[in-house]
Amino acid sequence: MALSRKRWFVRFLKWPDLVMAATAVTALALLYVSLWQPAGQAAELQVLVDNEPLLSAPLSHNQNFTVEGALGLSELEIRDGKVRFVSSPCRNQVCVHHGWASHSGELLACLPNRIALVLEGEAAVNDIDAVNF
Amino acid sequence: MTATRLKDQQIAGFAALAVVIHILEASVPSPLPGVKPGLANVVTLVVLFRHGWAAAAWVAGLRVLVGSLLLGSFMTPTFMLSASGAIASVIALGVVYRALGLQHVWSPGPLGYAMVAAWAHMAAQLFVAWLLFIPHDGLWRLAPVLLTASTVFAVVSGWATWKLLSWLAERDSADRVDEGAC
Repeated sequence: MALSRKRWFVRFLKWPDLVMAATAVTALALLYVSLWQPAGQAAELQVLVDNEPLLSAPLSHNQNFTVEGALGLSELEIRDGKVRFVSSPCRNQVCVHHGWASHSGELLACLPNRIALVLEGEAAVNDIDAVNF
Repeated sequence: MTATRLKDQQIAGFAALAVVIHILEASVPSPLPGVKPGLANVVTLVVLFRHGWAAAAWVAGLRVLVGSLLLGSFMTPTFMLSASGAIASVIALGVVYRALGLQHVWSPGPLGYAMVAAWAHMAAQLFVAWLLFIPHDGLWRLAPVLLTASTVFAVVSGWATWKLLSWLAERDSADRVDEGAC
């Protein structure tokens, strides 16, 4: 069904084009609204070792504790709703230099020591930022 | 409803044109990974409008295959993404082509088709990237940005397609006058 030569080039924007463009823009707006919610304050810390949940702790209670990973003991600190790696037996210390994390959905990890810290909030369950190195 | 049947040579010619654009485009650095204008798709759209869906599918398929062979990305993740995007957009174009056609009152023009192709392309790429390479839900947060780029570039390539089609139509009618004069 090829085109008879005349009709389509009369106008660039026929109404179906406008409908489609409008649909696309509306869908975009909805996507921005639904996917770009700001991250909320995390309420709870979950510690995974080797991808297995080891323990969870509330971020409201300040404390230091150690977790045993594949290489040895990593020290974690929870303070004022934030968490960080204080020390870790890994070589590059990426986890320590990452510093504090406090938003729900945030992730701190010490890959060599196989420890991952997942921050969870009540509000946002699926609210995870992209991870970029 | 008679389809203009393209000879294999002509399909190969269009595909070669698309491959050239594809490769030129691949050499232009992009500010954001995954975003590129997709101008090679203009060729697909022009073929769709002038020679029907089957020819357009051939051109798109050959472009991705030959383009990847020439760029050395055949069977790499880049190729998987490129191919899935092309397949999805060809299917989407086919559905819209079947449902709405080209010359009814309700048929979309180049812009509408470009929009359909661009969105299908991006959606499929995101899905395949999520399925195979980055199985992390955070990836979906890129969707609005990438689809915004798709939409903008769809307008650009829709306009380019429209310009090309108008130009080709003028040339066609000029040719016909020439033949008549003979």
